[in-house]
Amino acid sequence: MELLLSGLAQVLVLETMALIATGLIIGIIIGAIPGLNVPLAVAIALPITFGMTPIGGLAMLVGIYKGGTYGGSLSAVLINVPGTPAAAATAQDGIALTRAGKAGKALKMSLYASVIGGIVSDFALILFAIPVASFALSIGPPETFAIGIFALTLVGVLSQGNMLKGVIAGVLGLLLSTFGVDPLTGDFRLTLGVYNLSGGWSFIALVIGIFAIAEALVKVERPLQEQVMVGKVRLSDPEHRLTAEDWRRSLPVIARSAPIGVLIGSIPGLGAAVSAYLNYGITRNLSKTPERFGKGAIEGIAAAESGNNAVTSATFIPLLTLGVPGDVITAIMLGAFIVHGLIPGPALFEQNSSFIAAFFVMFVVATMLHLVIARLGMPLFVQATRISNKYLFPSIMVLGVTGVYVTTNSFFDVFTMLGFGLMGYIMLKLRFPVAPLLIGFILGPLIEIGLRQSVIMSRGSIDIFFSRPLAALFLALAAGSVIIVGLREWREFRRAAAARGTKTGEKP
Amino acid sequence: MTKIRKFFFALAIIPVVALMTLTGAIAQMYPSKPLTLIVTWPAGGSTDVIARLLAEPLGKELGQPVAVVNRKGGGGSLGTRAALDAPMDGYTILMTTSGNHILTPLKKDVGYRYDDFEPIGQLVAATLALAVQADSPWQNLDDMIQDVQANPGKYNFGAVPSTMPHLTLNGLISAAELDVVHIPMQGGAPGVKALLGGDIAMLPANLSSVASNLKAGKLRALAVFNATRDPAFADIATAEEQGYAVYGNPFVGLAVAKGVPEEVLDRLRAALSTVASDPEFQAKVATSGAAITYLPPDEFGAIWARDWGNFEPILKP
Amino acid sequence: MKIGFRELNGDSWVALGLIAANAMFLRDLALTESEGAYVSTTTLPIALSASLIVLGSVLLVWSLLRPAASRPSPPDKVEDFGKYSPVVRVSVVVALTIAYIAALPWFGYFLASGAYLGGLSLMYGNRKPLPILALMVGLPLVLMLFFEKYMIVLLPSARLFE
Repeated sequence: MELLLSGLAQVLVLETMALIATGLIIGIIIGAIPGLNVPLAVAIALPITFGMTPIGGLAMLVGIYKGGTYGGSLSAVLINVPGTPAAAATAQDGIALTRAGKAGKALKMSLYASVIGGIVSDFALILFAIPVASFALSIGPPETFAIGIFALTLVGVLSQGNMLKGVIAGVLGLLLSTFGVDPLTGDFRLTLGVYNLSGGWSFIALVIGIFAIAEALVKVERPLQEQVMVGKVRLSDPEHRLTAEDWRRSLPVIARSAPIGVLIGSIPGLGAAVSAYLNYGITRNLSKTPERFGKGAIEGIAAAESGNNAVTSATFIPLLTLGVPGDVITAIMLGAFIVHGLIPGPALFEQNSSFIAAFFVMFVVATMLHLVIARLGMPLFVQATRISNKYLFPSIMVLGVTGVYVTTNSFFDVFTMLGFGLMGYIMLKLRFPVAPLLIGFILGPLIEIGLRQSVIMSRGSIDIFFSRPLAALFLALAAGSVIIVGLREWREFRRAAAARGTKTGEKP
Repeated sequence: MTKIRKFFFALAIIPVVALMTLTGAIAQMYPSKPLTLIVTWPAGGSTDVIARLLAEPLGKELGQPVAVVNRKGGGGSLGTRAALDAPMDGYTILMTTSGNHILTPLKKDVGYRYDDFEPIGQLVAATLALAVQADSPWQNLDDMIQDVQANPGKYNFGAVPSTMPHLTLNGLISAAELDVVHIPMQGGAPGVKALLGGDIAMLPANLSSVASNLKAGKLRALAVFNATRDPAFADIATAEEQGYAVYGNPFVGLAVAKGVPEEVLDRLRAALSTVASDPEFQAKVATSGAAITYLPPDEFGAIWARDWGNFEPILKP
Repeated sequence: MKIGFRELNGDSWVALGLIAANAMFLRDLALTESEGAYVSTTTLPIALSASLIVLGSVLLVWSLLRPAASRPSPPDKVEDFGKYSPVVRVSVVVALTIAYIAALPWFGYFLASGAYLGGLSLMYGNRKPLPILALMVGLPLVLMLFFEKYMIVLLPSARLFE
């Protein structure tokens, strides 16, 4: 407790607070701009923090991380172009609400769910870092494989009513993730004779392509269509307010999604996007009214946003207690620790408690400032719906090209982005769900590596997936998820067939 | 419409003219524009951290900013080829490592050899250690070797496939005739997690990636694969002391494509040598768990040739 | 309920494309020498490629056999798409983007982006010269200042003028 107070004293100085706020603002802007992404922002801000105090530099980076993870939801909700892959789950219901003239409602729920998720994550880091870390350690290759399979079944949830196309998109995503270097042997595969493909398809090019570029191509079909909303948006108008009913639907969802997000964040290699989709899928599967999802269900936003923001502090649990970064962004931030002579890991955690205390306090302060800054900025953000497509989409195209180039420094990857954009456009036109493609691409390596490491560990036997309780549990959950989705799809199919039958029956 | 067309034509002309006069005015002094430092591994890795630490003092020394660029993929071959394909004007420098410089081109046909490059200088030769869990019964190499020989095929080790740690442990495995199973890992950090979680029994790793866990007593190192003990961990015996002459020293250094003019090379070499001897820079790198082991270009080049020769018979398909 | 063969629609073409692409992938995979214990380098890609061929065939059959009534109805033709059809407009934007990416290393970031933004503005229906000019100069300038001056991240420079 004394330590936390001394930490508070270190953090509650003007300079540190200003750095957190700067980081948050940069993060929210970068996260919200399609094309620019959070890992990129953290990587390029890294050298700037070298000259700061350790806690100050890390404060700014944590601000960017938290702000960016949230910022992606702004563009997802307002213009249907998720700024980060994790926000793609938010876009499903967010854009539906915006099109119904309820953008403020979606933005508010996204912010409050994010902040609650963030706070839960902060306190998990402060209070339960050691037990959560030992949970993370019990996740070996078989468990990783099982979690991957469970998350993959959510492809079905997201393709409800359109199962065949959803499954095709999901399998395609898995296949695309296998291009390039085999992660287990280092051999090249599926390079098709193109040497640039030995690095595989670029993730950032895929994300920007299928979301931002595809949306821009859809919009150019009808240049005369104007912005989403006309007239000034006032957040205090009743359609932009969160009602008691909205909260009643969302609070239980947040209460479930935030802890799940913490656990996912603590397992190295999963990350915010997996958490967002997993929570969105679980919520939709458990909902009594699954048909509302994708059409403006407020609890869909709550699940996705509390899920992805609950990851942000939890990814530091393995970093601080095991010395293993939880995701791409914490991997980059590792550099910021090291430059200041702090090697994250158990030695730092046990021996430099005054720094750790300040670091912990800084997370809570960052989450609080996040709430304040984002709430103050919201009346401004919401006006983005009034920007005419004439300016918005040319800018998004240039930002997409710039973002991919700056991240990968490869023109091949920039062309790849355009190719994925065209693919996404065709998928949108023919009503293929796009989200399963992204999920497949993210989960592909996880599943493949988990499977192959497991069978090496078990010397070729698949019993390992059933003899380890956690692995068996996740596989059972996956089976349950398939059954629920299958039953729903079957019922819907029957209903549709019956409706068609009566229609044709009426005709003479 | 014609009005708009004329307008755009005029618009296109103005900056072209402006830019041409501007570039003509720039003096032909090297370096006259920012430099690019290509890192062939992802941001946040040990090589990347050294590159980012190096960029600022090197830029100051050269009088132009140095931009760090991560060009990962293909076992480091994509970034290495990008450095080779860039104009040979010395504005593109490669942060080269054993992995992308020696091991990848030996294992796969990636379109370059180690001698397609000119050495600028070596910065770091990392120390490899063999780590086990703190509660492992093995106290030294002999304990481990006896146990493994008594239980062939029972134990696993983790390593990123065909990297220095993997090949170095393979050296020990063939020297002591061991039967341990390789579980491929995706990087240093996942390996540490697998070791802590008990999925593998031993992990050959860069000392820097296990340093924190060693200090905290969660892991123990059985040996370092160095000619001499590591100054930061002087209590860890070398493999040679324990009777196994197995070495592995993955290097990190700077290189440029062959064909860069001699005076540019000299400028870069002088700058690197100045930065590498700067105590402030050395201290910063030391905190990252690596120690600056600067070698001048000719010696660095000799190491390339030596490693290439050593690993060619093992890796060439 | 009338079922019969229909002409190829969008889904059918996608299905054919999927089958063709995956046949190519499978051929590439078959030629890849594969190693690895128990599950090899090519096991998973081959399985995924093969299932995509199966799924593609299902989609093809489905798209051909579906009753006409359940097909998505064609978009309203009454809607005003401007002077040109959507296909032409999308193709022009894609062509512009290819030209832009190809031009970047030669003309540099500022010039190429400016010209591209000008072209796109026209495609998205902007006809006001001054706002277009502001976008053409403003956005690339802001991004260049941010990346090159503040963040020391280099954008493509003009090889043509050096």
